[in-house]
Amino acid sequence: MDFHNPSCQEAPRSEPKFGICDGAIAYSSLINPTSWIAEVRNQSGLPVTLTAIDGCVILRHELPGIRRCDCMLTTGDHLYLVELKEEKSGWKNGAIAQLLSTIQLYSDTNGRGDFKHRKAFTCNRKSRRFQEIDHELNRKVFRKYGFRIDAQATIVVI
Amino acid sequence: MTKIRVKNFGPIKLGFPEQGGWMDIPKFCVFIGNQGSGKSTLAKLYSTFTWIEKALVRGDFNEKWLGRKNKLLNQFLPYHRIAEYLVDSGEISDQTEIDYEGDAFSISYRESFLTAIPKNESTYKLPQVMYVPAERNFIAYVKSPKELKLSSESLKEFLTEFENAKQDLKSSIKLPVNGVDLDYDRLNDVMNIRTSSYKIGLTDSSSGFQSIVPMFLVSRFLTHKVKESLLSDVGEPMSPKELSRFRKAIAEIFTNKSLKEDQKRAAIQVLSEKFNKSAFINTVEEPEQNLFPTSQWEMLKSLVSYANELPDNKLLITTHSPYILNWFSISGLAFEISKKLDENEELKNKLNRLLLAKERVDPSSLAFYEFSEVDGSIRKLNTTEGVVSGNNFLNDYLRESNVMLDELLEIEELAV
Repeated sequence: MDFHNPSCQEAPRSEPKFGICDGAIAYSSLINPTSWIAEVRNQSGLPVTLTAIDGCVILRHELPGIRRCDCMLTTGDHLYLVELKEEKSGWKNGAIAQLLSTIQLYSDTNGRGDFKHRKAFTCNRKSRRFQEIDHELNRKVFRKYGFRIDAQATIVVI
Repeated sequence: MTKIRVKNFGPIKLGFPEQGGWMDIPKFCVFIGNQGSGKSTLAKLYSTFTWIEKALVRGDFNEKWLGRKNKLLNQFLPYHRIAEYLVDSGEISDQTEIDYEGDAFSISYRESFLTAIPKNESTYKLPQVMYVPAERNFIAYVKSPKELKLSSESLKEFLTEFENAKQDLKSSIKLPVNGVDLDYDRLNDVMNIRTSSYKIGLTDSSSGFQSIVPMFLVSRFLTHKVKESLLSDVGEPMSPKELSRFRKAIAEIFTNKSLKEDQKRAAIQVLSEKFNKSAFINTVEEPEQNLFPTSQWEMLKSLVSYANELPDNKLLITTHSPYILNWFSISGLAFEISKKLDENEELKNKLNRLLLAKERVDPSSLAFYEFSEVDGSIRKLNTTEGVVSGNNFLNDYLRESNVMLDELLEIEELAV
């Protein structure tokens, strides 16, 4: 399992705004924003690489029973894990579990890496609802894994 | 539907930028916004103009009398202590504009003058108008509120109805929070909070009870009073002769120079008890005051139930509470879902266990407005099936605390 396997990576893109969609594997897109599950804002124009995790870094039949998130966005300084959801209810705990499991897998194989900013996002297009205070979860994940977590994102800002 | 349009009045500057500035005020209306953003101001103006309309219909005064200079400034706004918000000088575009569209009258304010134009009165339901002020705790806190020299006329009137509600208590009643009872010890003129294990005077009880008791008691009392007057013979409309006598008596009060304004209003109130009311317009400032989230919900259920008791009742609330906004969303969605259940008794029972029919709010009779203290503007929040958009100030501030925590962790991340 290689989280930085070039064959699972798209060419870096530096547009100020693009979307992430879910297909056989996660992919980025500039067209048809209504199909974007997550929106990425990259005002600083950094080259951002999308790596498909579920279905590529970790193939579907690999690691049965071990959860994994959809994709990863990286720049020289950033390592952002992203789980995409399109469900109205009952999705959040599962999405967080997928991220935590991926964080664990990444840490086991790559350690903390040289990234300055490590974050994990759950993005749900269908749930723009009332916010919850996530302080306890955020603090816990940061202390344990060095990742900041945003479990209620619709927009990923780099 | 009643509508109001306000520009350049206290914190309200631009007002509502849609629909030519007209804000619909449906049966259930929720105002949210920062302090000083104008939500209470607009609630007070709405309450004032519904009262003026009622007084015009009842004949307390006529359009000519109302049209004299500075009536709004001197006669009506001091009631809510908002007279200083009027702007009558400077550029015309910076001056106060108020327009109110009721069922019986269209009333406008421009350059120190009120103008009232009668409409078709046949659809008008004479309302009981009540403004439940944020200062209500004060009344529950002191032992003898009657002896207080209250500076606010609206608080005085609220106190009067609180006293009436107390006197009307025949036995103990259940409060909508904590399963406790409330009773009134007539002999000692004391209200008590009672559970199976203790009894405590209202003046010594928690701030939550002191907030909820006046609001609950007055809302309950006036709802029942209006309903009873509709159902009983006492509530029969006045005969033309009686109406003429009533108007004469009112006119005498108005021209009586020995009476102060507050005394005139009190006298009119006593006299107008003879008039049957067909609706209760309840405006409540911050019903969440001092209440735990679950208690806020229970209190709201009561207020909504009372509003649902008569088709023309209305409930307008101002709030800072995301729990209240959430509750209205749930209640609106419950109403929509109830329409899809047909005869499925099992699902109906399930829905009833969540929210009773009287606690549900028809989304088509519900509006949320958000007030900005930055530019004095007002925005209507979008709703879908009664569920209010997450894109609102209260939600944004919840999000803000997550963002702040994230920023703190980022600082630590960069420091390592």
